[in-house]
Order: sequence, then structure tokens, then C-alpha cells
Amino acid sequence: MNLTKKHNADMIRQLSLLFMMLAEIVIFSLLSERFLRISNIINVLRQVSVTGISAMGMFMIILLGDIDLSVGSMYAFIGVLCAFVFKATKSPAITILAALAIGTVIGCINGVITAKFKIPAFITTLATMSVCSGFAYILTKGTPIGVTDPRFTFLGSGYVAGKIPLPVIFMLIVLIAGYFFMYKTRFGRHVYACGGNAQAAKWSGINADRIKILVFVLAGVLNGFAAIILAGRLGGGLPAAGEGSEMDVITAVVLGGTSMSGGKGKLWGVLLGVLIIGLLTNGLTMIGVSTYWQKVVKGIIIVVAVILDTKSSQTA
Amino acid sequence: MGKTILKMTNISKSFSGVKVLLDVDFELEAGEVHVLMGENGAGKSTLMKILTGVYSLDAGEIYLADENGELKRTYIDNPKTALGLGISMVFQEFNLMPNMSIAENISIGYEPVRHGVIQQDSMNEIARRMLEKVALEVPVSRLVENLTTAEKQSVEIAKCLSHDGKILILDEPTSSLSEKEVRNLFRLISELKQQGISIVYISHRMEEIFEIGDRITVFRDGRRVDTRRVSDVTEKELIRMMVGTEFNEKITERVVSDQAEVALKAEGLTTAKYDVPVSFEAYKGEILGIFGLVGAGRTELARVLFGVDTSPTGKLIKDGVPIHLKSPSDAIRHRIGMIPEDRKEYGLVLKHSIQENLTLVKLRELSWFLQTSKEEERISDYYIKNLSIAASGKRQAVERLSGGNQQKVVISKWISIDLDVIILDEPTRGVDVKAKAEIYEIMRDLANKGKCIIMISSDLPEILRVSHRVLVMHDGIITLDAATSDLNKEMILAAAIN
Repeated sequence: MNLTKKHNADMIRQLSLLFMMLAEIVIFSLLSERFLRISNIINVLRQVSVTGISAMGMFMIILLGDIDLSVGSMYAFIGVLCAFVFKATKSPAITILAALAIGTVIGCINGVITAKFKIPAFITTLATMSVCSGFAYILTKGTPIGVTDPRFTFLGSGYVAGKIPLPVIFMLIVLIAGYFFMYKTRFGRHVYACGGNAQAAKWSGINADRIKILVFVLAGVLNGFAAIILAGRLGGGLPAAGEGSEMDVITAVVLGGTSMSGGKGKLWGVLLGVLIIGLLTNGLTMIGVSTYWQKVVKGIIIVVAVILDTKSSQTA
Repeated sequence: MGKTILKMTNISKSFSGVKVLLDVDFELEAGEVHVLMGENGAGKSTLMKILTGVYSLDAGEIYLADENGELKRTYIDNPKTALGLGISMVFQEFNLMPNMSIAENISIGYEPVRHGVIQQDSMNEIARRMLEKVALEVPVSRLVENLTTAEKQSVEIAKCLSHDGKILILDEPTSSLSEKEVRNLFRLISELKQQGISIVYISHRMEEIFEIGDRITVFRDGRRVDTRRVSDVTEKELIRMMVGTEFNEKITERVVSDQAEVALKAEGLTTAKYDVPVSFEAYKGEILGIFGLVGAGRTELARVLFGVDTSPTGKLIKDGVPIHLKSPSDAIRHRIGMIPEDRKEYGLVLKHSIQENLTLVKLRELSWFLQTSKEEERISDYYIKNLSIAASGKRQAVERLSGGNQQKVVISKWISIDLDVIILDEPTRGVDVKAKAEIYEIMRDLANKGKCIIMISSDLPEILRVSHRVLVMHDGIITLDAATSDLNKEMILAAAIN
């Protein structure tokens, strides 16, 4: 009885997301004839891939009942550093490794401070957000570090098989690997358990602190990866790159049905959330809505999504 | 006995299509202690939540006596209405603000106000008067977080009385009280009776019911089975009414074996709470009961044995080898498991399914790459069947299970891996009679298989029925260590109070 009810509630949630996405597509294609063109859809996919990669990390963090506010400023800081590294070494491989390494370090700082000093992730990542953003401006003195070398930009603007943007491939790889980790390994189950009840997880022999640190590190690595893709697309390191990106990432994850109180959520929903936010941004731009109004719309969406989530967990 | 002051007739209630109360009648007289009994999920709490306006009723009528003692149809649609009518409930989890003073808590929502300013003096005066009624001698300015559980309960009762309470509902009020505190509570209850206050008393504990109850109503599966005078009913009858069948409480057979091997040996362990060394031995194949009053240091000791806390001194020896535990993970590696007292806090991930909870510890034995969902399903099905966990399926969220079934999930979680030592802290708290007997049977079975079972309990009959040997603790010291067959109730209690 309860089982089927609960199951149904989940199903309805997933279906309503699909419906929301279809509604967007229908509405925007009626309002703008360019919206449904293949070139635009590919464009949307490329735009969402940076969000999608970071959403994987944010998904795990929110599953733990935490939050990461440092995503956007990590993009800026890592992007700037990578631009310098590339200029110095001319090696794409070293640049990518540097991006991942810096992401690891920042993620590790976020994780260790949050887990070991029992500081709310909200505060920890608010601090790293400010620090990263500050350094991005200090290093660049506020001016963009342009890199036009195609070996740098191909990560963000390259194509595979002529048509498919490289970042989309990266996002798919990240999400598929993420799916594997979350649902086919012990690690994923431990993340869910720690998010549901960290004490009970600890009493079940799970090192909850280690899981938390690992999750932040993984999220950091993913943000580093996303940052280099964004830098490639923008053609260099911009201290203002990615400002407010955490908003898109958090909105996508929450809209996808991940509970802010932790322990509940599906990766499938996150993918839908990412696509819905991506289509919305693109569609609103197409019909001439300013980015300022887009901010207003996204703000409303995140509150409505959380209200729906709270409502459904009360009645379920 | 007094006049009837409350009458509930034909009360029905369902949640999402499931009937939890069916045509229930209930009557309460002035100045009586009316006990409600029944397994978890039998409907007693739901009925009380309807009376206090937490839930609305689907069908049925409520009649309350007015000033002239005439029963009048009354509608109770929210908790505030119920409070206004003098009906209030003390929940197991108290509704107090720990960061505020006793006086502030008692007046909360009804603060004495003049020109929008709280009258501190009259608020304190009200609180003092109420504390007098419940015989609590503590300054009203003290913060609630600095009170003991029993004191918090008294404040909660005082808060109920401050609303000119006529009907007071107590939900398992003694479940976390020490023996002495229970006596104080009972004294308070009889004083309240004298004042004409009616008390609805929800409990699983037989001794208490016979001691303070006037009448008793038994529930089963959402129906009222019967209402009887406590003086006209026996324990056996009550259990039969609750379970629906004849039921014999089994006592553990005490086979004393000379060549029992030591499974776990503590040498001079100390806990954070008491700085006194503790030493004892636990044998393979025995159920070792650890008795003591609340706060005697039993849980603290268990936490050290399970690696949650560390002991700065002393040694823990398992199978003759000293071991060092820094975390529960270490303990599990040494094949020691612990079923915690607070299952919701430490034992379960409430919003996750039975299966996810059941296999949480087992995961460490499965391959890190879980191609093993089949195996996990097999394990869950096995325990759901063998421990007769009443659920709609292995994917049901554990928060929707009754206390007894939740406890069985926690137990399954631990016996699904091969352990040598299993510590159970208050394993039958908040568990109904039938599940209790089943849990005892599981423990006996494990002991027969050569496991070492350590059972912490504040329930003396339980200790006597189930354990082979008893340790009694008082203020962190072991004051008694003997085979159960050589002991009686008085000796154990004396050692615990000592």
C-alpha cells in the first residue's frame, strides 16, 4: 500500500519534470522559430555541459545535506591559473592536470574544514568562494588573460565527429561515471546513508568524515574540469567568469528532486534539472528576456522546487 | 470513582486509505488513571492525537462535560482548542525549548503581557505556582537544557496544568526515568488524582499498570478490545487481549557450562563520565545482562566496547588478544556489533528503505563494485521472513514501521554479518509484547550458536528472564556480578541503588 503510494509519488515527480521540459520546448518553439533548430539545440547542450559536470559534484554534496557556494569563483580562479599555466608551458596536458589538481586542493579544503571542524558547509564554501574570487582578481589585476591557442580553446569549443561539441561528451562521461559510482559501488551507498543519518552511518562502521571529505574532493575535481572547459570556451582566464554559476548548479540539482535535508535524490532527476535550466536560459535569451530577469525567474524556480519537495515529503 | 467527563464514540480514522482506528469508543471519569495498552500501531496514540486536536477525526463524536457536569458534543479541530478545554498531552519527546527558562517554557504562547511587554514577575509567579503543584524544587529561571529528563517531564506536566488542565495524557512517561524518578512521578500522579484531574496513561510496562491504573482499555489493530477495571484483570489476560492469542513468556534456560570461553574481557576501562576503572568478563554462548538505573554508566561503557568513545586507560581483550578500538568501524572489524538504545538517532536511516538499512553493515563484506543487488535482496527477504518484520515489502521506508519492526530491522542489520560479540542497549524499549518475545528468542538463539550477547536493560523482569549472568552498575562501578540463578529482584535492585 504505502510502497506503491511512495513509488507513485516518485514517478509523478519524474514525470512532472519531463512534462516541464516538454512544455518549455513547446512554448519556446512557438515564441521563437530558431529555438528548435538543430544548431540551437546543440548550442543548449554545450551551454549546459559546464553546469552538468558541476551538478554531479553538487548532487553528492546536497545528498550529504551540505551545500557548495564556491562553484562560480572556482571557475574564475582555476580558469585564470590555467591560462597562466598554459602560457608558461604550452602544454594542454599539464594545463588540464593543473586544473584538476587545484580543484582537488580547494575541494579538500572545503571538505576537511567542514568535516573535521564541524563547520556548516554553507560557511566554509562561502569563505572559499570569497578567497578564490579575490585571488582571481589579484592574479589578473582585473583584466582577462586571453589565450587564443586552439590547443587551449578546443576543450570548450571543439567538436567531435564534426557536429557534437566536446564538452557534451565530457558531461556524458562524467554523468555515466557518476551513475556508476552512486548506484553500483559501496561508496555511493555510503553517501546516501551519511546524508540520511550521519550518526547511524557512523554506528554502522562507516567513516562519515572520510565520505564527506571525499565527496568535496570529487566535487572539487569536477569543478576544476568544468572550469577548464569554460576557460576554453571563453578563450582564456576571466576573473569574472562563472559569477553566480553556483545558482544554476544548485537550482538544477534541487529542481531535479534532490532533498536539501540530504539522503534523497536521483541522478536521473539532476540530468533533467540541468536540461530544464539550460533550455530556460537559452529560450529566455532567444525571446529577448534580459539576463537580469532570468535571475529573477531562476530565483523563483528554486524556491518553488523546494516548496514542492517539502510538501511531497510531508504527504508521502 | 467520579463522573464521566469525556466520552468518545465511534471514532474512525484512516491515513491514505489505511484504517488506523475503527469505531472506537472511549470514556474517561473524573480523577481516574485510565491506562491505554496495545501493541505499537494498535491505535492508542492516534486516538489521543484526535483528542488533543493534532489529527482530525473521519467519523465519530466527542462529548465533554461542561461546568454542570453535563456531557456536550464538542469539536476539537486544533491543539489550541484542546488546550483551552483543559486537555493536554506530554509526549515522549518533550516539547520544550532547551534554550529558554522554565518560566518562559511554562508560559509559552500565553505569556502575561501588559501593553505588549512581557510581565517577567507574574510569569515567574505562575511558574513557581505550577512547579509547586508538581513538587519540583528548582529555580524557575533555570534553563531547560540544564535539567534532567525527569525534571523536564515535571516542567512539561506543569505546563499542561497551567492551562487549567482537566485531562492529562502521558505517553510512556517512565521510559527514560530511573527507579527513584518513577516513584516521584507516581506520587505526583496520585496527587493530581486527588485534585480531580483525569489521567490517560499509555504504557507497555505491566508492573506500572497494576500499580497506578484504575481502568484499562486495550487496543488491537485499530479497534478497542475491551475496557476493564485493573483490579479485575490479570497480566495474562491483558497479554491475550493485546496479542489475540495465548502467550507464555519463556525464561532462558540456564545451562551452566564449566568450559565456557571468555569472549571479551575488560581490564580497568574508564569512561568519559566516570573516572573509575571497570573490569569484567563476558563469555561465549551467554547472555550477559547489565542492569542499573538510568545514568549508571552502562551506555557509556558500551560505547567504549564499541569504539564510539575511547578509554584513556585499561585494556580490552578479545579472544585473549588485546584490541584497540578507535571507531565503530574498528569494532566491527574485530567482530563486535552494537544495537543502540536510540534506534532513530543511531540505528536507522529513517527515510531509507528496509533493504538499504538492513544491508548497510553487510556492504563491507560485499564487493565494492555492487553487482550484488541480487544478494542484497536475498538478505533482506531472508530477514523480513525469518524475523517476521511486518512491512509491505523490502522497499518500504523504515520510518513507516512500528517500533518493534524498526528494532527488528536494526537487529537484522547486525546479525546479517558474522559477529562474535553483540551488544544490545535497551533492545525492547518502545517495543510491543509480541515483538519483545521474538527479540528475546533471537538473543537466545544467538547465544546458543556460541555468540556472546551483552544486554543492557533497565527492565528488571527482562534481566531476570533473559540473561544468564547479571552485572549491576552504580555510578560507573560494577557493584554485582553473579549468575542470574543465584539472584533475585531485591538483590539486584539493592546493588543498583547501593
